[in-house]
Amino acid sequence: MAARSLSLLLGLLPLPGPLQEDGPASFFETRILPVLEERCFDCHTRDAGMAGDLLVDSLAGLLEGGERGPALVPGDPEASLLLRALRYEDPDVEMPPDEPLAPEVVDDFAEWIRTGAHWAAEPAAGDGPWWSFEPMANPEPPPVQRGDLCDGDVDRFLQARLEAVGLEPAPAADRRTLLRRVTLDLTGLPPTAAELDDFLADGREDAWERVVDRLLASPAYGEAAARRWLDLARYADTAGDASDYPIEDAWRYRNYVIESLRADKPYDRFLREQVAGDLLGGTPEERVERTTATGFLALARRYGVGRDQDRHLIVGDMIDTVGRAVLAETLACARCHDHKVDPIRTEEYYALYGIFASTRVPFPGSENEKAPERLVVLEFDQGSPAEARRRDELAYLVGGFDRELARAKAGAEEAGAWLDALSAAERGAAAQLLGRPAQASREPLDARVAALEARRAPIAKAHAELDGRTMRRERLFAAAEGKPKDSHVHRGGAPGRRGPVVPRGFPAALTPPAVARDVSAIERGSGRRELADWLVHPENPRTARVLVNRIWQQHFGSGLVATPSDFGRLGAAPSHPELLDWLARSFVADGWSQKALHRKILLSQAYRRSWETTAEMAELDPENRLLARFSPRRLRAEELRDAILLLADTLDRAPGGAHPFPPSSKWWWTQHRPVRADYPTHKRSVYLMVQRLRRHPFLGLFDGPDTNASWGARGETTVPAQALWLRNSEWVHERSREMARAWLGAAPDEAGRLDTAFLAAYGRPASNAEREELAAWLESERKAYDVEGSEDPTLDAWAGLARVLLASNEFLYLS
Amino acid sequence: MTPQSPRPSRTTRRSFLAGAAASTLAGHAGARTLEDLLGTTDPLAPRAPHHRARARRVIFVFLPGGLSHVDSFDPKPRLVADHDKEVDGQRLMRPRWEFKPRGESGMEISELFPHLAQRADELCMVRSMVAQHGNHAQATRGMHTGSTAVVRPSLGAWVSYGLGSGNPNLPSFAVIAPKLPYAGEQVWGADFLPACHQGVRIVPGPTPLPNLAPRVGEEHAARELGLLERLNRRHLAARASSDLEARARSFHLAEGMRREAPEIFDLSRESDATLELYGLKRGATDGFAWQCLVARRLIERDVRFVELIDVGSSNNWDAHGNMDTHKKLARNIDRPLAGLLSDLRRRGLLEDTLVVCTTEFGRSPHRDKKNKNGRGHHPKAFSSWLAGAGVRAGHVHGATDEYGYRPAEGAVGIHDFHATLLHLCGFDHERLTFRHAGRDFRLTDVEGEVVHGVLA
Repeated sequence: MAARSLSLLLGLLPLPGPLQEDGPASFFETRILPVLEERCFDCHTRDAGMAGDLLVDSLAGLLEGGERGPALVPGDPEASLLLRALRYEDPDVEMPPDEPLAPEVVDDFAEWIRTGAHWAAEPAAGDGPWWSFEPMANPEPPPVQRGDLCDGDVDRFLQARLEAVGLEPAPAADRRTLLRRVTLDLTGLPPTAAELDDFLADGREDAWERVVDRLLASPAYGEAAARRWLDLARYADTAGDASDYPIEDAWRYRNYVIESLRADKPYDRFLREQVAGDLLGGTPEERVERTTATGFLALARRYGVGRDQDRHLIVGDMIDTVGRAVLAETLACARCHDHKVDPIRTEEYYALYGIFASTRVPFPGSENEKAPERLVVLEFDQGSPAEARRRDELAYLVGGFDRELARAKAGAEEAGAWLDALSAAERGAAAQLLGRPAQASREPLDARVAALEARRAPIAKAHAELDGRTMRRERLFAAAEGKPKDSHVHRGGAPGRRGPVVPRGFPAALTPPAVARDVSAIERGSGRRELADWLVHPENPRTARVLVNRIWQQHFGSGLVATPSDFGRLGAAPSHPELLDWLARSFVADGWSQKALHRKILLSQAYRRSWETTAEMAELDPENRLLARFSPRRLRAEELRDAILLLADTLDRAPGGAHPFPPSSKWWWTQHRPVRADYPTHKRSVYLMVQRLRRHPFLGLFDGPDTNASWGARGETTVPAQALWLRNSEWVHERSREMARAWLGAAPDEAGRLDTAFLAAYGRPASNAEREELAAWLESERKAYDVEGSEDPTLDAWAGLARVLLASNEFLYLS
Repeated sequence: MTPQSPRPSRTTRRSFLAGAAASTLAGHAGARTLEDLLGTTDPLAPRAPHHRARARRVIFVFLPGGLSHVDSFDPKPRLVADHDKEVDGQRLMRPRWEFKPRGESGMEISELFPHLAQRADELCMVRSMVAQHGNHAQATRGMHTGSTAVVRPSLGAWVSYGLGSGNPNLPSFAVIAPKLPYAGEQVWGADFLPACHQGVRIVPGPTPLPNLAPRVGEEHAARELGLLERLNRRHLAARASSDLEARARSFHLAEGMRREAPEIFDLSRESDATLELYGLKRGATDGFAWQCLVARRLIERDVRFVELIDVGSSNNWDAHGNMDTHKKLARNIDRPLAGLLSDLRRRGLLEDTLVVCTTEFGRSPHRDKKNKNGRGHHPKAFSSWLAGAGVRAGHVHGATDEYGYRPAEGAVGIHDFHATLLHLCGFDHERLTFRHAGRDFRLTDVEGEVVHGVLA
């Protein structure tokens, strides 16, 4: 392990799969290259000064050799000068000069040369083109035989494939199912009974369209849509360092995301603001909003116990997040070596690295330095010119008093100290000497301080008042420009092992000619402005495709590309490539409007199909990639909690603000006693405080967000602990009693109450058979509770029913 | 091995047909078919082992804060001889506890662990451990996940992923911890592995697992479950979905857990002799002895990986101020650990159970920077021990230099340590992988070599 101890100590990201296979590449990467890096690169690289003119950081360098001729003859170890030097056979060239390599390592070199000196670190792009590096096509919707099964172009693309395999799609789901489906999909909440009534009663031809439009316009849409983006932005209210310090102002970024999506801010602008919003100028409101947006970068994970510890990992987090969330490219794979399967070279990783390393983000505080630092403060003068002048004058006066006061205080202190040091006799002598006995006291000096303070006070007060009235200051946990600087390559991912310096820029494989033409070279500043241009260029082969795929995934459970954050070669190929490109093109043409995109998808017949599955479908398309039917999904953690609160009639719909962290002046946490806070609330789950070192107990139980890395698809696990929570947790029991109370009060008779309960939980009234069955069940429960001496047997029985409904599949799944 | 789909629960054609068959059957009969079905897609199904191995379960004892190797398991006579001598600007400090050869093996263990010392012939001592980081949180995360900074799945989650569930009523990875350790729950997280592999925390005390007990009478709970089953069955009647079947089934599993878990914590049938072995007072519901006995009861029920953490992220083994604080901490775990080994041995469980005891790093052979009676962090060398299945008992692997500063031979890095533990469980650490974010991840990153010296 000695040779690799450095990378081991630094906890580097692992290399990807192919390396782990045996073979010459693996042998070179694991046995030869680390030794060259550790023991030879310090002298024998271009940067290091090329000792003896010999470069050993490429095969070409070794073949060309140095002043003594070629160092390497592939296939012939004995003829290779390199081996003679390593064996210390020639007193003139003994390498490494300090001490020879271990004999078994030298044997490795002999073996490597004998087998042809395979040098693997060439750009390792896979064979042939891969769809996601190719430009988007301009596909036309294909012809179909069954036009009656198509309500638009989206359907046409899907129908053509179904016809090709001869699958008849499922019929449309009923209106109740559809309303519950679309309401949860768009707002994260189940529909109310009134909304159901409206939709069922709406005989107009465009009733569905109206529902979709109403939901897209609802405030709840922003909250639900934001939660999905926050997964991608690895949003958290704490920093993830060893003590998990709070990010007090993270909530402002969260609310920015909610507001932006609610307002259907065009996706290109949304991205531009998050990457470079602080550079975009604007009115005071716009500047605050756009700077807040860069929380996307500033919320990067922090590490360790000190200020900016492991900075390369913080920068790496930003690259990884932008890569996975926006581009669905695993850029992090190129951190230690060229990407193994995608055409992303290490140099290109560090070209991006320079951009983020030239960006300044706040320090959230940590065990060693507890207070946050480098927060962005935006100042706006909102006063009249006269007020501004007056404020400046007052500030000048206050400053003058401050200087004078400092001097006076120092003088009094000095005199006091001197007098304290004197004996009584000396003090008498001093007074005599000065001829002014009274001066042997510091009192007059203290009096002067007091007088100055008294004169300063009203002026300072006037200044504070005017300043507070005319100046607006916004404190933001946001990005700012740092010192623009190109980064050197970190060899093997280790920042201390300097490779060549790379100019800031963008991976060539994701920069088609049109983008290269329009995005200017980075000349001034960090390069984030250019980064934004590059990301949102309509011809960027990823940005639009990735986003439309995510929205598709939201509505169909799986994306057209099943690996939403990895469009690279190890990811999946699209099930409907033409549809994906068509959607992406029309998304851009529609001004990057996410709401228009939702609409396009939701108005399709495909979205409205039932989940009834025929044997044919199971046979021909068991995974439902062709979407002949709807795939049910479990409610997401937030949907589950919000729906329960809604049913209990205790959901607080007001937006959330800051969390009640203690003031930063009192922060004291250490890794021994890290932040562990729980701030109970009945607001929607998107407003819950989420930490990085500790998962929220409820969200963690139901596959909630991982706050440590960008996450494109949540798990959907089924474990007994979830069942136990639904049946036995205090929280569910409290809510079940609230529901019972609400339902008992909703109607005078049992049938009406049951309908209320069923409409709330399932979006449908109870059937006659169910009414009968449940009436009997409730009655026997009521009797049993009565016998046990319950204070309110009816309420107890109904609370039991509420828990059963909450635990049932018809509630837990969206179908 | 073949890359695993990140969502193994997705319906395949086979599972669909099985699910369809299951859905037509009622209640328990359907559930049995479902189990067969889950055999093909259940993330808790075992992977095929890469080689024959003895360990079917693991008990992993973690001591937070940094146990001093030179005071416990790594005898350094020169440190005694050169006490107070200044070396490289540091003043050496002799161990507080005397070392003696123990058992037939003659393995030297200090008086800090008198009971454990009597089990020396069961232990395989590794005296040449090297940590990845000198700070608690990173080193703790490193010891558990192989990664100091970036969050990754825990060793226990990997073992659970590899060995699968041995008991559907219980979690496959349990962590018995009175307090949270450094790095919090990340220590037992599943990260990108399916969430069912994350450790379930058992908190010593009156309610070790949350939400186990019904909040209504048993009869009410049973009637609620009955109604739930009827509703679910009707809902599924016209449809077929393995996901929904599994969800409906999870309430049965929860019932199993509800039945079985209290039995685990009910120690009333344990004999006085057994309690005595662990040093546990009858009726106690916490303490490290309780943790150890519950660990035995968990592995008896085929829980795959049980982690025991004695203390939390404060008031622990981090003896900067005074080494004497080790005494109380050692007394807390010494007899229970020795008792656990004896108990496992006499019940035959040590045959296929691997026991591991470690900490995040060692302590400096010299005095702490600020406190003359304490020792600082020392990631460059520390000791850990193994016992049980497949382990070479009574053996000492590796050695540190004369003062205990660095490994002098047989250095074992964290990835090597993990590779060895996986090997003992039947897995080649390079082939136990999971496809995530575009590549195949493994516990040992790109490092790790099995330490063959510790294998029986």
